[in-house]
Amino acid sequence: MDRLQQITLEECDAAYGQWLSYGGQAPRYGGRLSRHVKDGNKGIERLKFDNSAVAMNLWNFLLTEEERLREARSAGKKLIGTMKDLGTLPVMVYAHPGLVAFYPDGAWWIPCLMDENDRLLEVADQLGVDGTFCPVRAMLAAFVTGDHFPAPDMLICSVGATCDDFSAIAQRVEGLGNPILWWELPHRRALGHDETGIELPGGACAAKDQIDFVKDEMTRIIRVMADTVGASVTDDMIVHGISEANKVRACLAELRLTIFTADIAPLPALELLVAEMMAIHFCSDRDEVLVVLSGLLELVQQRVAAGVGYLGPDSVRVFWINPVADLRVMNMLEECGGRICGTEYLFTHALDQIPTHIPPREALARMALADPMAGAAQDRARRICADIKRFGSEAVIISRIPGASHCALEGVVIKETIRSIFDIPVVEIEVPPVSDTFQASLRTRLSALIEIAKGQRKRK
Amino acid sequence: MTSAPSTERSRKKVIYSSPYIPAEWIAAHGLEPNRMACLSYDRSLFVSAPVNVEAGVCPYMRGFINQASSDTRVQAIILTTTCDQMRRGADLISLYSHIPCFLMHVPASWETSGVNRLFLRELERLGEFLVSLGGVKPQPDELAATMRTYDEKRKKLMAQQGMVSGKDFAQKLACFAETGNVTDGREQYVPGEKCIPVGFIGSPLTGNHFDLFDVFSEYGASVAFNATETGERVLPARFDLRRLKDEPMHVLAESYFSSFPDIGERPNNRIFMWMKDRVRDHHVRGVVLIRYMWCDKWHAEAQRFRESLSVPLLDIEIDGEQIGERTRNRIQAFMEGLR
Repeated sequence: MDRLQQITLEECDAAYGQWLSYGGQAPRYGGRLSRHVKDGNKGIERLKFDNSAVAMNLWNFLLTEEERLREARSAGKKLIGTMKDLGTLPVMVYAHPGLVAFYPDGAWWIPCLMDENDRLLEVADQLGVDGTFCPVRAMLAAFVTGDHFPAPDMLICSVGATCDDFSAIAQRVEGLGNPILWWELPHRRALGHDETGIELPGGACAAKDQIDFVKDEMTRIIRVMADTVGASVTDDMIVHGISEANKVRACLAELRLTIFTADIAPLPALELLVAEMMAIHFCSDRDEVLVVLSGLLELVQQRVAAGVGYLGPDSVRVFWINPVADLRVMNMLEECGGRICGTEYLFTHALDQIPTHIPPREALARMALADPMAGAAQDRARRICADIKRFGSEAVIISRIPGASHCALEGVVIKETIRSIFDIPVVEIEVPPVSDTFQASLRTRLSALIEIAKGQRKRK
Repeated sequence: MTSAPSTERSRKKVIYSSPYIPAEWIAAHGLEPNRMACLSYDRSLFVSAPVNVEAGVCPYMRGFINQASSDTRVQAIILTTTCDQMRRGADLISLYSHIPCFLMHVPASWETSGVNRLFLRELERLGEFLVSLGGVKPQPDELAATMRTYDEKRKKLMAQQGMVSGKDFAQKLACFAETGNVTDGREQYVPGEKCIPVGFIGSPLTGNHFDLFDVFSEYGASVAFNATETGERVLPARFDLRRLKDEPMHVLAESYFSSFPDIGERPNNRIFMWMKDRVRDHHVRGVVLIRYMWCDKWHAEAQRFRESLSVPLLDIEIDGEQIGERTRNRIQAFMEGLR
């Protein structure tokens, strides 16, 4: 697996066999990637993968999450389905050794991974939640079919400053007989004239009374969780949980920085997206995720030191905003001559270090309020612009989530803010869960963006 | 929070669209509350913005912020977080308009004392914003007096329910929301013997949507209740007059935050129980869900209403324009089915 290239699933299997024959040690979830196709993940046949063993570990770790959840249940652990907050509650849940957190929200990738063989979108249609909703509607169907994750022992969902699609779909989940503990995340408001804000991870500011309110919500969640699943999470446990989460975040921060600042892209966009997603709930194994990500970081550092990577130094440095429901589109970026140099996948608050100098529930409250979707789109845009400057991005892709209630308007604000500061091209695309019929137009838009960015490079 | 420029002090109207905003709180500050009826559905996303996006943008939000921001008599705009589109609408206003805009967080959850306190705190913040516009913070007795006045007006208004036609009552509600005035009823309305009673529920009705009452009437229906976001469902409960003197703000917050059931509250089981009661009490034979395109909260629950109500449901999606032929045909078919 020495020569750097993106390879097909079939080639992955061959490379994996070769790696084993040279004495490679596979983790317990390791194996040929094609076995996941037999489990139903037919969509991965259409992806292209980084050809390293550590990248295959990453994929194997991702695609075996359901098994881990079932093992955890068999071992007597309680499964907590955390919904929407993307990164905050799992820190608290994993602080207790008898609890495991996962996001049912992650079902939004199932139609892509299973190439719609799961028929989740069809089931969602039948429930009256059609294609005018965000792809997270697959989650509703997954609760109905019960095929994709074990039924959680408890569901906890943030509401308030969250998107309407998710709130509406989560309410339908509850309406189908799945009780949810709703907790309030207030819109991160602008400060009053005489008000002193508290800086949050990531740089935004929040009013003290809002932080106090969310801290009280954290306390309430701990209380209800103890009553519901019999697991009491103490502050000392959370302190430890924060420390462990921060290790994962530090590793990801180093990984992102190394990739974004490298002369040649050391890792494809797709694998980086998967790695970043690991931050929100550790893919159901907080210890192992660090092993997986550390391996990836080591690989990337080796590649940078050796001056090897994908494409070449000529590739256009692209900042990508919002995650895509169809992972193939991330492959398309390299195919069009672009590389990732900056990302904002709606969960930057799950990547920032959680403060350790303050009481732990307050630290989690600050983190929750740092959610880019909790505040004004201008706050989001400011952070994106700071990162564009930091990483020298030459072009921006705003990937709209089809049907999402926030994307159309947020996109306008973010795009206009970027254009007011930088002379770089910005393109908006919309990526459905299975983008077959849109592939040609998406490719055209990405190619045009890359072309324009290269043209501007010459003019500068 | 932004202070109004002194040159614009002559403007009086404080515009809002959410039923969670207490008109009496604005009036008690000496300003003019106006829950604006959106009449224009300009296709541009925002009149002064160099952008035009239609897909994914709620026509009501678009119409509201376009109309509010282009009205020269508007002193300030108040939006709430009850809907993601309105929340993002506030971002657009702050980016493209000089009109001060206040975004109030209305909690979606309602089962804890903490969110009640949060709503109260948001009302206090709104008060600070109104003062920044030139309003005067009312003394408790002044606020109580204003609340009594509005409470009496709402009592007078509600007394006309069933005495006038569904359309007339809806227009009286809209008039009260916009001006604070209650018009007297004229002759007593008696629906025809063969009229089939139906109930409305859903998004706010504005402008041309009042024609829906006529269309239903044309096909033999009478609208027995209007539980849309501009109907009687969202009127606050009558104030607890015994507590009004001592703690008017608490009474105000309680009445506005927790007295009416809403589709966006979590959990939202109250609205389903409330609807079952209305269907039973008004003997309606069909329910009409009227919702805007891209309104997820109403759209997602259409099927649940259909399954939980004892009568048929017609789900109408409107885009802010006239009532089209397709919608007319669906209404006709629905009414034929109810006969």
